[in-house]
Amino acid sequence: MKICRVSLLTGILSALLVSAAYFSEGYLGIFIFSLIINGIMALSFDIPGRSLGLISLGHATFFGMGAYCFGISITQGFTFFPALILSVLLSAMGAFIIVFLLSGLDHGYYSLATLGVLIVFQRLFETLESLTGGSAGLYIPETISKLHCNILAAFLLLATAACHVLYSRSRWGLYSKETEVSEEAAEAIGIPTRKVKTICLMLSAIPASMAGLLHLARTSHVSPVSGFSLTLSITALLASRIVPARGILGPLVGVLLITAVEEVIWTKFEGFNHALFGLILLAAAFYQGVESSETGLNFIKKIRACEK
Amino acid sequence: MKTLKPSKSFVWLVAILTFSIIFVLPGSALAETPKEIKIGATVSMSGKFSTEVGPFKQLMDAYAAEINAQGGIYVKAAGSRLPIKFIVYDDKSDGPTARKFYERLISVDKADILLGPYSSPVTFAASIAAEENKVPFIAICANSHKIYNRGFQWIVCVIDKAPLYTHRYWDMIKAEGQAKTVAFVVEDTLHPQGVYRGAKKLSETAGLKEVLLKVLPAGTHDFTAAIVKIQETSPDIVFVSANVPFSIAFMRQARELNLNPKEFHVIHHGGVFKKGLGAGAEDVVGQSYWTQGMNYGHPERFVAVLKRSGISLDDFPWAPAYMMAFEVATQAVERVGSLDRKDLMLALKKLKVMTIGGVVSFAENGVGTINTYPSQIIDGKYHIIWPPQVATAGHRYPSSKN
Amino acid sequence: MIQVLISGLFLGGVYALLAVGLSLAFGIMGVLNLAHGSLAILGAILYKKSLLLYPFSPWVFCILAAPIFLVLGSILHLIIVAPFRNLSLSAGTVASLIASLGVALILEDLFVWWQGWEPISTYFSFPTFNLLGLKIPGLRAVLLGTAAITIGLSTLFLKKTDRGKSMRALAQDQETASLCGIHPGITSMSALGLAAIMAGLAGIFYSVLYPLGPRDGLDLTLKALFIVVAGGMGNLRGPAVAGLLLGLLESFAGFFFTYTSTDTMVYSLLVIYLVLKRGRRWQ
Repeated sequence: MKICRVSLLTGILSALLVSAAYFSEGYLGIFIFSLIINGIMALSFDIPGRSLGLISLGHATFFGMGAYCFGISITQGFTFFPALILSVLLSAMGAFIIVFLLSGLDHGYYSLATLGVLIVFQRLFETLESLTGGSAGLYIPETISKLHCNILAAFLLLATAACHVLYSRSRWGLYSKETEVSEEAAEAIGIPTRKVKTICLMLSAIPASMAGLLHLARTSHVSPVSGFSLTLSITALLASRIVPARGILGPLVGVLLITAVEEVIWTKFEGFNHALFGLILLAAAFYQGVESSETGLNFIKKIRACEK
Repeated sequence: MKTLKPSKSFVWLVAILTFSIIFVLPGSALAETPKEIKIGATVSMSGKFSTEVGPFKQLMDAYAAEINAQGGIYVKAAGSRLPIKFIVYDDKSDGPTARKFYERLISVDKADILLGPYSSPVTFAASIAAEENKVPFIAICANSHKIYNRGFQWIVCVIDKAPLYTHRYWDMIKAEGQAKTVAFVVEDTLHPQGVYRGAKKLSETAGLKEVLLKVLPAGTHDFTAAIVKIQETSPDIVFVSANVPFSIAFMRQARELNLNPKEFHVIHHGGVFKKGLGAGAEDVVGQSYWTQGMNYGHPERFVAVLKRSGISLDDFPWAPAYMMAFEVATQAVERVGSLDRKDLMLALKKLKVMTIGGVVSFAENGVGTINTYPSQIIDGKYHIIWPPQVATAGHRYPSSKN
Repeated sequence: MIQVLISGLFLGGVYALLAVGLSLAFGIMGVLNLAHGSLAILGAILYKKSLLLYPFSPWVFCILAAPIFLVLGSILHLIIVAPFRNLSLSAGTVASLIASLGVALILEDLFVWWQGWEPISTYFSFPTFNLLGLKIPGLRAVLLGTAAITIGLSTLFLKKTDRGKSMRALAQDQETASLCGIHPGITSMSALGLAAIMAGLAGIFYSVLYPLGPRDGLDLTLKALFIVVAGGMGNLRGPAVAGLLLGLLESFAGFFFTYTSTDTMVYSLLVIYLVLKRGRRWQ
């Protein structure tokens, strides 16, 4: 099983890396790029999701911050790499402030507070027209070739996956698990829960903001609605949870499943696209429910006995 | 809590995935004599603009059916009449999604010509795909100046820029010389803001004084503060530059709080506006691209298209603009005689065609010439009220409720 | 300014009705029902369709629609709650969230297929009254009254009836409630049924005041969610008060500030409130 999981993982990541380099133009280029960005968002969402049990409905806030910091830097005259460094630093600072304020919240309230922050940023960036272009958004000229952008995104995906694995296996990952179970107990045994949460959430925020930055570099346009998008946050949530697998395999397979299935539904079917997607979500949710029930377990065992 | 090891289920999952991705992957098309004219477009069938243009794929299919029933469009390079086919995706009222599907329309579906999505923000993003791939792009309901100030060479737009949207209305006000003051209520989104900027200047030219300006966000539900301030200034005209849901909500409250200027002007006052307000919509002036009785181009074909598609003009007042875009696209193909993208774009830039809304031609930056006509709801029906040569009824001013 | 206050109360009444239903579901079952707003849209569509048959007033139609929503809520329970009872708390919450999102998406397409793409806007004529120089829109006043009665009756139901007490017990501690003989399945089904009634009624009132798109369900749910969190989950009074306050805040913010900053301000205040009041303080 471990060999199966590792080989599946290696296969997926290699396939994404190769296809990012090979398909950089046209529709396939955008599709592969979207896949990779969704993968980064799902993995980064999953870091605090798995280890601390914190569901961030406003995860796209960091995405939008990275995109806009990059876009504003470019419009102020910076070239690609200086703008990249500047926007990473700025969005990291912004992310730190948000994370610091919200990391004290319990699970349900954390989810909603992050959602509130997302909406605040969306409205704010619509208002600051002179800086952000308002509701029309920012348009920037091409700063990097599509091929290089795809490759950078693929490496960012690998880096995020590595972060996820290393964090969960490090002592900080173990501290996070303890903090999730009981914060008071964790503090009582000397775990610096505040530090743990901050590190974990920053590890989640920085790849997300870099994903936003690369997305703008690739597509040349960002608006408050597309940058601070609730749909992006929900896609990250779905991708990380829809496949019940441990580690990074779940989010990666989840992203592939959701992105590919969504694309098939919206390009090959006419009408009732949302309903079809909704049925798939229901099926995925029920699968988890069936697996956990006595009746379901017995049923699946019978099927497997027949297969043998 | 018990769980199974999901080994076999993973194999199935990956199999489904692989199949899906293969299914999504485009097949390569060999170069061959064109058998049809492919017009690519996205329509907001979901998302916030779906209430404005949701069923417009049916409109496109109905137009194609009408044209194909007459044998299609003659393409000299093909030596025959070719049918037209619309390839349409749902852009979910989202810029990046639209952009992705336009890339697909270009590289996978090999569309010969593209029609733009609804709204300036989505068109802003989508047009980048056309520009990068050098494919003719006919924008429809997207008249923000920001789209056309980028120096793009592969875009034209059927309608005129937003600031001139209401110029005929202000021409009428100036000619009548009765109104003296105006209060503006503006929805803080791209198109209404653009319309307001123009309306402000046009009202000054018409000799009116702006007594109040209220800019409100798109999701505003309570307009009491604005209405109270408007009542204090007693303007002759209350000009509401907003999309339909906003306008309905504002007008409802205005009627409840007995705000009764000599005239309400609501830039978008389509059928849902009338249904949502009942008698409260009477005498409200708005802007229409077309009403029954106008005789430019082939109005009978438009009526047939509407009937075939099942779309009501009252409920979807953008249908005429789309029809004009269809006419521009097909007439460009007919004049060029080929489906070469470069030739089509050159032809579009120089094109001057008659459509149901009047003559369409394009400026250097791609902006078109179609503008709306002021129309008033009189006895429950829409009437064009200016200019006299097109008007189907006289302007009722002041309003009967004043 | 008093005019603004009155309008704010009317707006708040609609918000309150939308939020209390969600609070019930969230508080009692721990389920974030993303299809809550879709039930409101369904209420609006049903009312619009009913007007083709007979000019019902919104408050009369509410009485007719309540049993329909009770049944719908129970069916919804079988889809988004019952199958995930055996999962752990966090896994179950996420599974329910995904399932309710699936239901919301399916309902969106069904609504468009049934009633078309155009906004749902129902028209009901009612006079405006003058009281001490103030204009009181009669329709909004009656709707506010109906919303208040609905919330009041629901509060009485929760406090005085056995079923209501069971719901409150389940919200406090599911395990202990089960040990005391309260059937969690039937009780949570009743709670979701009641929540569905509230949502349907909110949708009916909403459509008379503001146009609703057939795909606006998720947006409505989000708005209700914030009010619930601000007002407190699992009870009716908190979200009702929070809804009223939100309506007042929106009205007054537009009076004292520019409207453009209102949304930003409202959500910022909510986030600050959450951080200060609901989170754990750092030592």
